[in-house]
Amino acid sequence: MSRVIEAVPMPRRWSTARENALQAGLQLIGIGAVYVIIVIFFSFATEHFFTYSNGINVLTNVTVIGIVAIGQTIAIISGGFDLSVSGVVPLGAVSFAILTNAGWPVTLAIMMVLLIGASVGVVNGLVVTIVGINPLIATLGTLSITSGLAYTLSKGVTIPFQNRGAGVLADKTAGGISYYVLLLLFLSIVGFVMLRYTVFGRMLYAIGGNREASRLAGMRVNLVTVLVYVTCSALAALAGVVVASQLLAGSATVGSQAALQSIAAVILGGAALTGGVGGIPGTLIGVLVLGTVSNGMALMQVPAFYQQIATGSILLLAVAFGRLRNILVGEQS
Amino acid sequence: MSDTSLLIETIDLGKRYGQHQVLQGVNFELHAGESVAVIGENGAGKSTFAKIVTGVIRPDEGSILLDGQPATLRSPRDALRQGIAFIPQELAYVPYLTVGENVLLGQWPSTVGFTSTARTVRRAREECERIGIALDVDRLMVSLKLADRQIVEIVKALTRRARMIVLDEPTASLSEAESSGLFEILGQLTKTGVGVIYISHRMDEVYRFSDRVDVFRNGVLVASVPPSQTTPNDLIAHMLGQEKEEFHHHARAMAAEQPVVELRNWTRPGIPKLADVSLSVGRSEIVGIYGVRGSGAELVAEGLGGRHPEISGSLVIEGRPGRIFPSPLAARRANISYVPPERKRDGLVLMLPIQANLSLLIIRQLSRLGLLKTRAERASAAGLAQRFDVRFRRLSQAVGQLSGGNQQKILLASRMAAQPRLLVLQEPTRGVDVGARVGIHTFLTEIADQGRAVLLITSDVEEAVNVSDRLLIMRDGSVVGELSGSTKTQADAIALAAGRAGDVTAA
Amino acid sequence: MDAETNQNIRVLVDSTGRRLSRREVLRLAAGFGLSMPVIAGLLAACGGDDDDGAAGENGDGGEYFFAFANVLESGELFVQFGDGVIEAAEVAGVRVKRYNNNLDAETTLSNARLMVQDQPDLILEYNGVEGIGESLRQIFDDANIPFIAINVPIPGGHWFNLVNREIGADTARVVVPIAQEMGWTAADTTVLIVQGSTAGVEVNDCVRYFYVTAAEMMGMEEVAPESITAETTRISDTGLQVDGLATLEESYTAVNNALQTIPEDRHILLYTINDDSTIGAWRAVTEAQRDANTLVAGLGGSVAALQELRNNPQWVAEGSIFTTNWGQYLIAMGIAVMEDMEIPELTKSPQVILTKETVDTYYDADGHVKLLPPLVPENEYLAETGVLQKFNNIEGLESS
Repeated sequence: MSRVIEAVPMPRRWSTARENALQAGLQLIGIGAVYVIIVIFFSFATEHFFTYSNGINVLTNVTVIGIVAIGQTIAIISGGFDLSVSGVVPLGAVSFAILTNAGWPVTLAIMMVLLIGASVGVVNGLVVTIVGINPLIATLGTLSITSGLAYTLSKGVTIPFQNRGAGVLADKTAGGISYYVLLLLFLSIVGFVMLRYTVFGRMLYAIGGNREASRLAGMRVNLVTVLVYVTCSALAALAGVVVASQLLAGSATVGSQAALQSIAAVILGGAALTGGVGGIPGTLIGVLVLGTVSNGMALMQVPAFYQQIATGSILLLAVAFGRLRNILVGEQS
Repeated sequence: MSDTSLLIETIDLGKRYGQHQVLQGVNFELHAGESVAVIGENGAGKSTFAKIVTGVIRPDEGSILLDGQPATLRSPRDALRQGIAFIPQELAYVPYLTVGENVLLGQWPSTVGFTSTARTVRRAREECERIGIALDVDRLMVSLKLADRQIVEIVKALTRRARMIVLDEPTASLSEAESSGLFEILGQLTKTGVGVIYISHRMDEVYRFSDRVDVFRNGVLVASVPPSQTTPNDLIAHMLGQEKEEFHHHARAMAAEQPVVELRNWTRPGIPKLADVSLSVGRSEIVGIYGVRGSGAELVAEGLGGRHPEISGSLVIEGRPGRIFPSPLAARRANISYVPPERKRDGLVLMLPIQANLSLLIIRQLSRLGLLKTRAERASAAGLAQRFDVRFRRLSQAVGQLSGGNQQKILLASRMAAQPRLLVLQEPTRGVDVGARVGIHTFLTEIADQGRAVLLITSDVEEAVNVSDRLLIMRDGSVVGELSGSTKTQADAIALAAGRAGDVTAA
Repeated sequence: MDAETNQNIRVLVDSTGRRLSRREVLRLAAGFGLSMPVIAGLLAACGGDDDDGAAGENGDGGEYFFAFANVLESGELFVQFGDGVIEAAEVAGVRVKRYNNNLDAETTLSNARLMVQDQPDLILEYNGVEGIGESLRQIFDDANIPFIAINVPIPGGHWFNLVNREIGADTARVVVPIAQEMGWTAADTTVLIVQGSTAGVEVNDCVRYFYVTAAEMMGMEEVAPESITAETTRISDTGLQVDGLATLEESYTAVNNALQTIPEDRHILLYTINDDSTIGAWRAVTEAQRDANTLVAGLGGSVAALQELRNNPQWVAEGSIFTTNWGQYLIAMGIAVMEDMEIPELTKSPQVILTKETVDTYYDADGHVKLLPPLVPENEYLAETGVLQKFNNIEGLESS
């Protein structure tokens, strides 16, 4: 064997391990710090904030967006994104209410709803890959379709559960935590492991980072993209089941904020809309930041309009911080 | 591996686009451990050849043999499976994965679908050791310099058992030291039996590294010789062949007054760099700048277009010194029109109609109180289109529907509409047909005859020599020679640009 | 189904995706049929009761000819309202041509022009877009055709609408005595109202006046109704307002948060702007296990709410405005206009605050209207047309 050539010099300022930890962790540390500050602030600002029951309340309030955001994380990492979740959540909620009212067992109804979500994802995926339409337009189209379907199926009115048992996901475990909060936790762990430790997860980062390079490296880019949208839509449909279980009713008005809020959470968590970057821990903190801010401000009895302004400001600050991160890491153009 | 084993052989390879034969009867061979430099003028067919042997495009004629067996290369992936890797100028890597993950892209070690960065990086390190190139495998790709990313791509190809690597102008964006590093690695690889084909514009590289140099001209492989048995001037003669003039320059009386625009000491570190470039353009003068990719010529053009505020030095316009334009708007205000090379991206709005494109730069003259004077716009557009001989059906036709040559004419017309004191053109005839090319050259001569100053930046040596009154040659960020009058020849220009000044007399 | 809802069009405009008519949805779904078999199947199961033509006509004679523009022909609520108008016209022997304004300004204006071309005797205009009233008035006035504006007023025309403030105040008058009977006082009771900030001032009158009336009756701190705006959150020591954006989900979240700030031992009087909000809010209350300590009243008369009123001991009142039956009032009102009767500035839609005792008087078990409340004095003129008597469903107006 010939002499080994030192092709890439060792970095000068810090060890590679530290550099990578910094790269991956900086946004997490940043958003985590922001979260801690938010918690401290509200703890002092209102006595009602830092209590066990409000902790559960925050988790309850963020679960739906949290589940949607896991799917959205996957979509954004792979270089796309999914607006149709705002239509799939109500479609899932309405379908679940209709199916259980028609006497379907809860598990079967949930599986059917997942299937409905998955088929929307198939359409999204095929339109994006085969037809080659930009995800913005493709999912905007399916958003309109699925939202319209939700209104059509529900005839525009709220469908209360006839069968109280259909809301089993909202039942409480010991400690007053609902099953759907545990579901969010479970899905987060699965998502985290999938993204970090599986070949499929690594493909998502690769495809999001450079689609062409991934294709040339022999990945089935289109298939993976379709699977991404299927996962994202199925999770959104599941979020629809959760929201229906919370409310014990299906309604086409639910989830209208799902797309915006989930994308905001994912970006807050350090992902880039250009793809290839991001992760579940960041997304979860992003979801918590959004949920905690709106909860804290509600407890402080700030009008809802100002809550929207605050949420938007936080998002812009976080994105600006992300730019700073890139400069700090010394990204080569 | 035996040094004599034949990796690839092409027999009568040909490719045509419509009526245009871009490659014809190419018989090429590459042995294991051999490095071949491919040179030729722009449009000589060397890129087409590289794309065919790497599976990017399919040949229309002839056949390819791999290890003596007929082979079909269906795609770059297919080519790679058969041992052929292509390293294009635009590298394909994933920025936010580690070097190791990029090296093993899509082939990460896994157990029932589970993998991890640490494991991948470890495996990549083993691969690097096997290949004999040490890579810092756990850094993020995005934090590497361009030269290092290129090496990662080479390693990536080798982990896929590539036996033959094709590089398209690998050194165009590299510094001197980085180029040396790259060639050291390539040299190392050839010793292990890998075959290397690299497309080059630089004569020094050809002599420094290659075992053989193949020259393309007009789609034909015209020479295949070891560098030791030839001279740069012979190679240049092969590249040019019989000069065929499609356009004849005529001398023009130049007033010896103060220059219209004068560049003083333009300098910029980095790649490509500029090192103390000074030049001037006078009235009724066409000054050409010729240089290959990375020579810095493009920076001069873009700088005059206001796109490189970081360049230091100064700019004297009609005798008044000033600073280098900080923005495209500043260039427009100084009445210097810049015609960019990427007309589709930077110059025209393809979906807008002809008339709107023609009034892009003079929209203020054609409006009052913010309202567009549509009749004046139409009249102006009709006048310009006629003067520039644009072929169109309606002025309301979208520019995107026109041919490349007509688009280029509209681009020129829109830039001339503002009556600039200096017209800066960068690669004005790239991708246009022969007729439009002659038209554009004639037009440049006409406007110079009318007293305007023209600066023509081109990597087309024929255009550079034939159209310009004075031709500056740039290499590595400096003006390395000036040719003028009847003394200038294409051979001299290429020799200067390629870096073997030797027997060239600078005027 | 949700036959009646205290509903203002502006609530609907804010939600996304509602603009697809059912036919468009079906067409798209058919296009995706192969890849979305499940959804297509669901749709098919849902039935094809689809009719949203721009204009349809009924009857072939009658004394009068009215043109009627419905605000939107998708969504059960509007369809039922529109069908109610047509049915009422048949009973009354009025010829009616029906248009679909499709909730957008352009369609509404073009319909207005089409309608005046037909030279009807009267126009019933349900316009959902604020700000184009003046244009509509001009079109109708130029053609010299009288018109009745439904829900959203149009200058220069007659106006038929519900009165949110009265509904809110009347509801308080039902709920508060029940609370007082249980011994709840200003000292240990909080009034929690759920507004819908995007629905506009007029719609939110109901919750505003609920608080004002309840405060007066309970002896809580009294505030001027105008001082409770969309931005108000804390009304007084005993009054709290949250924003539920008129939807189930947002009301649920908003009340979840609000409950954190109301001490566990306080009683709660809960009232919202519509049944969706009430159902969401009530769900938050029950999840927090504070339902035994809360009294709630709904507004709309939806099937779900009527069910709660009948079965849920804490759900003590339900405001109903009988949208399905607006048609008969509108036709009567139109004939009154034809006959040059004195028309008040606002003709109020029928409304009643249902209680556990009265619910069965007005609704059957399936949620269908059995009986309508007696005419309020201002509306007596409607009876003079003799039209309402033909329906034989209004208390005190038996058919002759």
